[in-house]
Amino acid sequence: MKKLINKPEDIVSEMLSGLEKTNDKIKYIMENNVIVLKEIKKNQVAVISGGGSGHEPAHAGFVGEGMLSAAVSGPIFTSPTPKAILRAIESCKEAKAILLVVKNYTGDVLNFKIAKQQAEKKFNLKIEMIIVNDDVAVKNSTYTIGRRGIAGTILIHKIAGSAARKGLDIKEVKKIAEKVNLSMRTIGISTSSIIIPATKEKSFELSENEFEFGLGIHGEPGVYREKMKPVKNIVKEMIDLLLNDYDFKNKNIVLMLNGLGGSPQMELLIALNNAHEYLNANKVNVKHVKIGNFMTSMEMKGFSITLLELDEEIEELYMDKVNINSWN
Amino acid sequence: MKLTKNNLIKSIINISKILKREEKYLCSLDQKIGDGDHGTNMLRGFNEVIKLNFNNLNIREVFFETGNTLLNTVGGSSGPLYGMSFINASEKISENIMEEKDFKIFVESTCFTLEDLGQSNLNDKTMYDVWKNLSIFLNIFPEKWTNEIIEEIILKVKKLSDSTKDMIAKKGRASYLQNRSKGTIDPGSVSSVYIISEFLKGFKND
Repeated sequence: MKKLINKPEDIVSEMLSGLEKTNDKIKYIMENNVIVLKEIKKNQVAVISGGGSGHEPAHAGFVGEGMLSAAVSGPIFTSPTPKAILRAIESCKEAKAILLVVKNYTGDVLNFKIAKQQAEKKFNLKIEMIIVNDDVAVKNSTYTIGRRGIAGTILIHKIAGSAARKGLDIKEVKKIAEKVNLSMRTIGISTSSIIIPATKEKSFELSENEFEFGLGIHGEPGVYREKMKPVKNIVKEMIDLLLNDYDFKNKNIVLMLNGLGGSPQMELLIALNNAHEYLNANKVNVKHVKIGNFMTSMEMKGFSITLLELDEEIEELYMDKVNINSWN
Repeated sequence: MKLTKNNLIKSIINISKILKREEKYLCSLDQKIGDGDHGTNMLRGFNEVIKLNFNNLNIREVFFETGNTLLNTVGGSSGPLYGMSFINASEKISENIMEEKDFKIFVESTCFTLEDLGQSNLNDKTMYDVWKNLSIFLNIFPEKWTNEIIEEIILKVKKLSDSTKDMIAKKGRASYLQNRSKGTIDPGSVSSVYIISEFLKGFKND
C-alpha cells in the first residue's frame, strides 16, 4: 500500500515540524515531541493532553490559547513515554497548576500516571488528571478496562481550556472537565481499515459490502460487523445506541460529527444532516453543531457522533471564541 | 548456578537479536487483538538498551538502567510495565552476581509490578499469565538448579504463553474485542518468553 511519507521513523518529528511552521504562537520541542505555547500564563491552569500519533489534528493541533497549553505526541498509536510527558509538564511549569487530559487506554493511563508522580516530586506543582471515556461501543464490564476515550476528548480540550483561560483554579477546571466527560457519549463506525506506516499493511481486512460498528481510533477492529446499508440507517443505529445509554431527550446538546480522516466532507455532511433530523424526531434539541476531522485515525474512512448535554456553564465555555485553526 | 554481569549483558543483547528476528511475528499477533506494534515497540526499546554503557555498573544498576530505558522508549503499556518491573527488581537483587534466588526476586517483583501498576489478574490474557504462573512453578524446584531444571522452566514458560491463546482478553485494547480475542496468543506473553528464556540461558552457559 502507498503512503506519502519519507522514513516511517521520521513521521512524527516531520509532522510536528510542519505544524510548528503553521503557527507562530507555538514551539516544538523535538527531543520529546512536545508542542507548547510560547507564552505560558502564570495566573492560569495549563491544560495538557497527549497520546499516540495518528489522530491529527489531535492533540498537538489544539495547542492554542483557550484550549491546550501543551501536547505530547507518542509514536503512531503508541502512548508517549513518562519522560516525554514530564517534558510537556516541565514546559508549562510556570502555570498556576496543570490539568492532564488522558484518554482511557491502558498505555496512556500508565504513562501519564508515572509522569504525574515524577513531576510532583520534581516540581512544586499542583497536578490533576482526568481520564476521558466517552465511547459507548465498549460495555463497562469486568471483561474490559472500561470505555475508551475518543472524539469527545476534544470537547474537553475546548471547555476545560476555556475554563482555564478564565483564570479558574485547578479544582474548578477539573470539576468542569469531569462534568463534560459524564455528560457526553460517542460512537464510531468505519468502512475501511488503515495502513500501518511501518509495515504498509492494512490493520484489518474488511470486505467490500461490510462496515465496522463501534470501532476505536487505533485501527483496531470494531465491536461487530454489518452489511453495508444507507448511511441514514447507520446513523439511526448509532444514535439509538447513544440515546439508550444517556437520556438526551428534551435536553440542549452539542452534536459533533467527527470524520476519521478518510471520508470526504460530502459524506460527513450527509451523515450530519441525517443525525440532526433523527435527533429532532427524538425530541433532542440540537443547539450547536460541530463538524470536521478532529480526532482521526489516519486514512480511515468513517465518522463518529458525539452528543454533549449542555448546561449554562458548559455552553458558555463551549461558545468562548478561540483562534485555533483545527477547532474553528 | 550463577549469572555474571557479562552473561547478563549477553542475555540482554540476545533479547534484542530475537526481537529483531521476531518483530514481524509479534506485530502480527498484536494486529489480531491490538494495534499491531508490539514487536516494533519492544525492538525500539531493546535497541536503546544495548546502546547503554554498562561499564562500571553493577548488576543492580544494569537492571535499573535497562528498566529506565524501556520505560522511556517502548511506549504503550509494555514500556511502563517492563520498565518498572526491571526498576523494582533493581532495588532487591544482589549487586554483583545473580543466583537462583535473584532470578526469583526478578520474577516476583515483575508480578508485583503487573499487579500494582497493571491491576493484572490470572487469565486476563496478558504477560501476567506467564510471570505469575512461573513464580508458582519455581516453587517446586530445590534451591539450586541444574541444566535440566532450566530446560524444564524454559519449556514451561513457552507453554504458559501458548495457553493464553484460548483466553478472552480482559485487559488492554484486546479486551474490547471480547470473544473475538480468542484464538491469538497474547503478544506480551511472547515477548516475556523471550526475556525469561534468554536470562535463564545465561545461567545455563555459566
